[in-house]
Amino acid sequence: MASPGTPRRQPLPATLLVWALPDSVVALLREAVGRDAQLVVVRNGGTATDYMRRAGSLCLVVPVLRDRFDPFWTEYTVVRERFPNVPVVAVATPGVSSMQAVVRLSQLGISDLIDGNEGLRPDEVRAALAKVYNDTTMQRIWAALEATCDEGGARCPDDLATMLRRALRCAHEPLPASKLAALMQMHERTLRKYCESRGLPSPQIIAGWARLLVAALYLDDPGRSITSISELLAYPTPGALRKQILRYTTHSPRQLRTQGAMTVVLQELKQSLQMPGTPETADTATRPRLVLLRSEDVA
Amino acid sequence: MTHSLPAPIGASSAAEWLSLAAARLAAMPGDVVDVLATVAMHTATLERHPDLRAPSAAALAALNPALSPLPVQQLLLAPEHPANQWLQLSALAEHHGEPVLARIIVDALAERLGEHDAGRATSSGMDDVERAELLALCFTRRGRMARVAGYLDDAQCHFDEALALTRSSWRDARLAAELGLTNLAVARGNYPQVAARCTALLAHSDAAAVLAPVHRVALYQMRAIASRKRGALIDALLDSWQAYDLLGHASAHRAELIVSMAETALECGDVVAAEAGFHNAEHEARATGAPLRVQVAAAVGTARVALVRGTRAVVLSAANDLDRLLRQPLAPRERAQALMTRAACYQFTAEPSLASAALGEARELAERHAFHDLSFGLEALRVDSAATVAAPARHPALARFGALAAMA
Repeated sequence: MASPGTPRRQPLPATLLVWALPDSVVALLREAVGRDAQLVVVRNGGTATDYMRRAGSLCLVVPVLRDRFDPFWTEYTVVRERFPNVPVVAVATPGVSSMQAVVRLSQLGISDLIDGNEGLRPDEVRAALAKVYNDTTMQRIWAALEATCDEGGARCPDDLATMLRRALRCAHEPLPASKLAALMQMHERTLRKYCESRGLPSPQIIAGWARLLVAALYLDDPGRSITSISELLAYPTPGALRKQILRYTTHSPRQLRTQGAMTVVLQELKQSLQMPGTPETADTATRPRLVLLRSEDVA
Repeated sequence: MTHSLPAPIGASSAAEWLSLAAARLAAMPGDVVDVLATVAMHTATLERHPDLRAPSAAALAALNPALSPLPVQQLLLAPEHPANQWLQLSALAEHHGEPVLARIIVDALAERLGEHDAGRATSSGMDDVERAELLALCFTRRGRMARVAGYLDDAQCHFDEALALTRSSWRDARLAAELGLTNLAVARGNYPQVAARCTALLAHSDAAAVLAPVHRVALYQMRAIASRKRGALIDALLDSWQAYDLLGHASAHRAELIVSMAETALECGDVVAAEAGFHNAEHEARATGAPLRVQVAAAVGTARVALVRGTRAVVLSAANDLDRLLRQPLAPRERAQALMTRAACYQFTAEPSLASAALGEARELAERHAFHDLSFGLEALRVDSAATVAAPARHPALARFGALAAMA
């Protein structure tokens, strides 16, 4: 368990592709990621494309270039069209960036935007990269959830899907119902009533499932212990994570690992939510329903 | 309760908002793009920091020309307080019609004030009273955004939360919550409550310390609306004059106030004064870049006057103005009002199917957002669209307005 006050080392994308950034920014990026990620400097779109084809977990770091006739823009547009899902962190630097360029870059999609006009800080860069990692993790989990739903011809209701996606994005942190409500741009009471009126689980339960899905993803990595996962996800103790897993899935972490944590958690989630199109089997009908957790149990 | 998710939400972070809004931003004027992109970039910085810190001095300096026309939002909170500066940026985003970005800023601020984790705020050295006040201000902003977006139940929850946090002290947040709840009562069409709340607040000695002229203007204006809707037209005009005399030359509010007075004049049957008032307000709203809601109210009024006069060419011109505004991203309430008047124009030009479609859309909006007063209005429009009000004898207050509107 990390001692209080010690910042958590959040996971980062495995590879950073740094393109068209000044050497000073590259040096700072190197300092920010240390040995937690590989940093590759690319000079043109062709090299960037080669890496993107090969690498799995990566993030592209690009400048916000004011000069719209710079060759970077043409090459970058081609690369983005070919790899629209690769996360991009844009860095605005003094003298070369403009707000119009920020908008031009955003039209092709950005995951985060760092303002380097008053100097870059390694912790800020690291936080941006950690956010990118969270976003890509969310996308992986979401794709797996959709695939699981598709198997049974079920469909996650749109409103629940929106909530889960937003919750997943912040699932590396404790996620009380009030925060999920803020992510939905609603008051907590309104969201709770809304969920009741739609027959959806409470916001607390939805947030709990989101955290559990991320935990399951990590549990499927044999190299991670339950202690390290609980630290990564900011649970107060490993026991709190164990308890949550048991309450939601009726399996222990060890059992989850043996059977494939993500597969089991996705199935449990699908069944407990009774998504439309899911046939009501004897098994699901008799399964103990989730009850509202006491506030101190909620991670 | 409102059985729908706030549909327009598309983003929960500044970078996500930028990606989603980029195409729209690219079509906006350059100065607005600069403002909004700068605000978004600095919000992204706020989101990355665990603790509350002010936007950079350079950012504020760059945004200063855009910030200066905004009315002062908090009177007691120090202007240099980081929270106040973020609230200003949020108001700026709202002013430029980007409530999602505004909400993202408020949420990021509230999180740093320890909304979800009180320990976060205590580590910043903030005392409980200050933290409660600032959090309450965040809730009042959320309440306002929810009200404008037509999510009235959600707005109620936010204002209640703000009041619960500030129950014992009359500072900025308490006043903002009380005004917010009064505005909410206007949106719900609960006019007796509006009148009672306005009267109580204007008379409240503790509130007097934090009531600036701009707040008094708002209270008199809301009470005028309540009086007009309840048929006390002269009371409405007298309250409007109280507000007008407090206003000075703050033009953005002036246009709104003149629309309200012109509406009262129209209800009184003084079409000449009403027409001049709406025309005056429309002109001023365009000149001062007043919010769309003011432009819609003026255009709706002009169309209503044209319908009363019954001149086809004028009705068609007013209808074209409404069509232009209906193509803008209007808040649900303004859209419903514009649609109702557009339907009346269609009825006038003998296009019943188009009138019926516009009425249907307005009804759907009114029902979805529980705009009860509009629902009654729609029903009345269906039953008898040709009802007119007999003109009473001209009260001095009305004569004064007629003279003012004619001068412009």
